[in-house]
Amino acid sequence: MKKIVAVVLLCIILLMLAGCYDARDINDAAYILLIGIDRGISDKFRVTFKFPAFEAGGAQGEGGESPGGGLNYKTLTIDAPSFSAALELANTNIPRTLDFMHVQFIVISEDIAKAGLIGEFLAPIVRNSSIRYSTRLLIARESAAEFVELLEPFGGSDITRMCENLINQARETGLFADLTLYDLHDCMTSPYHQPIAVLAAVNKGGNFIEKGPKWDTKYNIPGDYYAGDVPRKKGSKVELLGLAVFNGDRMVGKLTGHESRLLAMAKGAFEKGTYTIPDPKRPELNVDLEVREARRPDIKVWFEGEKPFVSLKIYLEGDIHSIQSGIHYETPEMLPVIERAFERFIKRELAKAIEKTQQLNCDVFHFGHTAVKKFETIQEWEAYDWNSHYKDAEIYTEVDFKIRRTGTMIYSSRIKYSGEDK
Amino acid sequence: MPNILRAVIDLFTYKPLQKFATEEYLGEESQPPKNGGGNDGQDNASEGIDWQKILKQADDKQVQQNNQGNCRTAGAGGQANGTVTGTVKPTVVIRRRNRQKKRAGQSSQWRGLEKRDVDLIKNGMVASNIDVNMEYIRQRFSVPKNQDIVIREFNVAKRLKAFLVFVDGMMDKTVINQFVLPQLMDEGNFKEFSQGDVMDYIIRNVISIYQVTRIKEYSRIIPQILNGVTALFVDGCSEALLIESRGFEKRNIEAPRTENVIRGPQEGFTENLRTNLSLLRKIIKSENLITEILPVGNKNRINCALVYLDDTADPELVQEVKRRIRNIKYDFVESSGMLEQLLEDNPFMLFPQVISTERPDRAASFIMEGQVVIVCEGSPFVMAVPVTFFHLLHSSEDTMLRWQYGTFIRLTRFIGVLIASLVPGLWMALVQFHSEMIPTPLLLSILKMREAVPFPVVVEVLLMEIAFELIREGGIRVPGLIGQTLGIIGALILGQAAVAAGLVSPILIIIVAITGIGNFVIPNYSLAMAIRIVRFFFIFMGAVLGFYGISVGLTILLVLTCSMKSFGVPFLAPFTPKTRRSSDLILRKPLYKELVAGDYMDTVSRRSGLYPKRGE
Repeated sequence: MKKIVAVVLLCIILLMLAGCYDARDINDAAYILLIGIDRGISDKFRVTFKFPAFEAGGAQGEGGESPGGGLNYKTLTIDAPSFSAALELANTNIPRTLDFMHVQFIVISEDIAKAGLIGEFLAPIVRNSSIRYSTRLLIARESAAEFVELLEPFGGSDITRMCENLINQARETGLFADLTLYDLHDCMTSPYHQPIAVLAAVNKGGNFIEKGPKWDTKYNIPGDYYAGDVPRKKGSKVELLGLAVFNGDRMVGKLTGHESRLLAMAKGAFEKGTYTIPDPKRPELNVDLEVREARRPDIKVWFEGEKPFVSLKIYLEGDIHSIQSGIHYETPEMLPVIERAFERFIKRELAKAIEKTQQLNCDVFHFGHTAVKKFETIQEWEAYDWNSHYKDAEIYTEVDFKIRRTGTMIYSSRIKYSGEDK
Repeated sequence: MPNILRAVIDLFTYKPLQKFATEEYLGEESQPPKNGGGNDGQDNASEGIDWQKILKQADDKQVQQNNQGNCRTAGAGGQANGTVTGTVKPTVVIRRRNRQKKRAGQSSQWRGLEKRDVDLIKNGMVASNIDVNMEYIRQRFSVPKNQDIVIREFNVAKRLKAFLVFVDGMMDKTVINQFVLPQLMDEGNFKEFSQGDVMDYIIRNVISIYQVTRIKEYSRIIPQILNGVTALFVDGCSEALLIESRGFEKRNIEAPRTENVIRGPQEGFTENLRTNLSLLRKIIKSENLITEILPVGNKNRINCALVYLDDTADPELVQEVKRRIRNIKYDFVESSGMLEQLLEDNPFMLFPQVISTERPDRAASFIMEGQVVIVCEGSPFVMAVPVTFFHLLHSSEDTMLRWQYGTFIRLTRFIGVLIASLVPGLWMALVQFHSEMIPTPLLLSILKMREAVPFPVVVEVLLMEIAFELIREGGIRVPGLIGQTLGIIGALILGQAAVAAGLVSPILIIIVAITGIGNFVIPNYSLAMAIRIVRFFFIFMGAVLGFYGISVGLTILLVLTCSMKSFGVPFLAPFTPKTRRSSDLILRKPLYKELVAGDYMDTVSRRSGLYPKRGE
């Protein structure tokens, strides 16, 4: 009996001594929510952290403040030679251990991206077990520090919800994509395609012209902006729009929101988006369509010698949102008019976007994933080096578009004017 | 390491003492019916009966009577007592002499007693001489010191000397006053009696009582008297007549207090053994329902009844239950709660190995499943054995409701058990080790709420859990009216004020509350108690080792539970070991698809009838 008691006691003591060593009370940690990375001035990198302020709240105050409401955030910017060095330096002035489990965005400035320093900088981050590989990665147009500082909850108090929902808008519009640290870091070394990352920027309202001649009947493609260029005023200070295109770990170009959608369509990742195209019969007026991907695109790749040929057919379907002209397009005879017009539009734009990427020699369309099937061994494939042959590829596109529903109206009628206005 | 594990497992495995087990088993084999009579000498010796004293006094009285020719019983006792104190030494001398010439004829020393009477009384049998019997009874019950025992002397039909013995308050007065004494005393009733067995005549023609028994052995008569039966001794009869006259104050049948159901019978067991048995009989109207009554407790000898279905319950199980009950060496068994502790397989295990219920319908369903139900006098809770973990989580309502509802409430209950045992531990693990698992917005609000709390989470959790246990225990102990107020005050003060004072965070109140509610869901009180304790174990494991600790804790608990047995049936029976089982464990099926008993019960007749019991 004594022996058994001794054994049990020993077990308990061992547990007590060895058990708790890495236990950390949640209130002893500073939970970093955003990381911003710029080129430094006093040192190689300038790292910015954003974390919630350690304020007591909840039911203690009699003022009826709801628990969790009214969170405040603080930022800290440090120049350091590397990420790990920045961490250590941060702990010299923050009274809590930094915790990266809950990082929402890693924001990297365009400077760094263009200088090809991303690979170097991300190396310690991806090895750090406390940073999730699924953290979203953004490329900030100007200063990442500024972006991190100005990213504030809009219409709410919770910055994490803001970040989550902002990224979720990618699915609603297709104007950017939901891309993670994994997408960038893993694709850097991929022989199949080149990485992309979401473009982000602080919108200072520079494109918003207060006074000037009023808009005429010109036509602008929706979402054809880079991040930070949307003509708007107020709202949230930041925006995500378009994609950055990388060659290896060097950023070489950008895609607008519109081009991002086309890219999504070609990859089969497009969920839905609204398009406004000129009315085929009265080009000064618009037709609004909500477009979805009907099924995954058909991609065929074949080779003639070293030269690759790609045929891409995408299938779209959609609903009519509005027909401003009042022309009765809803009949089975007239629907194809809109369908063909939209197909031509998409085909033209797609060709432009593909050409743009070919000029950058970056296969962001993932054609490589189909091309690889033509090779018998992975060695042959790697020897062929798809990424450098992409610019030579001849790419044929085809678009198929069907209108499924016409909204709650099955008949458009013209607006009636009285008297001489006719 | 295996050695350490074995040592730990050994610690939790109960092994009966070796000599205890074998000796008792043999003892039981040799004397199946308790009152064979062979053990009376030993019995009497242990009770320290002074034979010489009894015989001497009876003898004295006999001589006196013979001399005087009439009876003066009232004075005789006192007189005899007086003489005895003075004659202790001669008694010893007589005894010694007695031993020397055993064969020489014992009766020679007794002037007025027949040899046969002396032999009878020495063997614990009723003597035909009434004075001997009277003295024996007086000795056994310490009359007149013991004032509860009433010895009523009278003459049967004005001729034969007789007396009644009963315990005051345990019997129904009207039975004695109206149906026994008047009829025995009435000479008219004995007109036709000429010669022969007077006891037989009394039974057949005189007493109008529904149940009377003739018994020779004192070892059976005395317990019956203590149970409230009246014993009639008549001069010249070497038998006593036990007259069923039991009638004591008892509680009426009320709704069960601890096991409430919405749909189902609202009768509960009471403290009265007979009532409880009748409640069971009312539900199971089968001639195969067997009731065996065994006395328990070396000193207090309360009755407990084994109830089982002869054609269903495993005979070996019945044997085992009987063996355990007979071999209880404990002076005072008060109620089923104590009996449970004396019967269970492993006293060191946390989980109950016997299920107790207050509901006759539930007990009846146990009987139907092939379990043995033990009804104990003086307790409204009956026990059923063997039991598995799943029995403890069932409630009689599960089967009374349609199977969809039954399944739903049963699932709720399982979730309740998980919540009650694990939630505080998981919380500890989450906030100490795994903050990455908390959704960020929730984490931020927790941070904010905990910011003003000066204690580590362990202290916070223990503080609240202990406070909660206090409220719960206090709520049970305080008188009814204050009880509710206490609950409210406890909840208000400890919840609201503790948060306002910055002692604990609001989220912890939710944790403690949901744990408490989860615990209330458990239908079995013993299991609920076990889960209350298990909760602290998981708090410790969670605080020390996080999720890893909780999984280690779960494994340890599961291993121990697997090794547990209740009357030979593994505690997690239909799952480990896996047997063909009744589907009525967690999910329920429509009734017509369900088997009543699982294979692990090893019942005599299985539903299919294709599998005869082993060895038959």
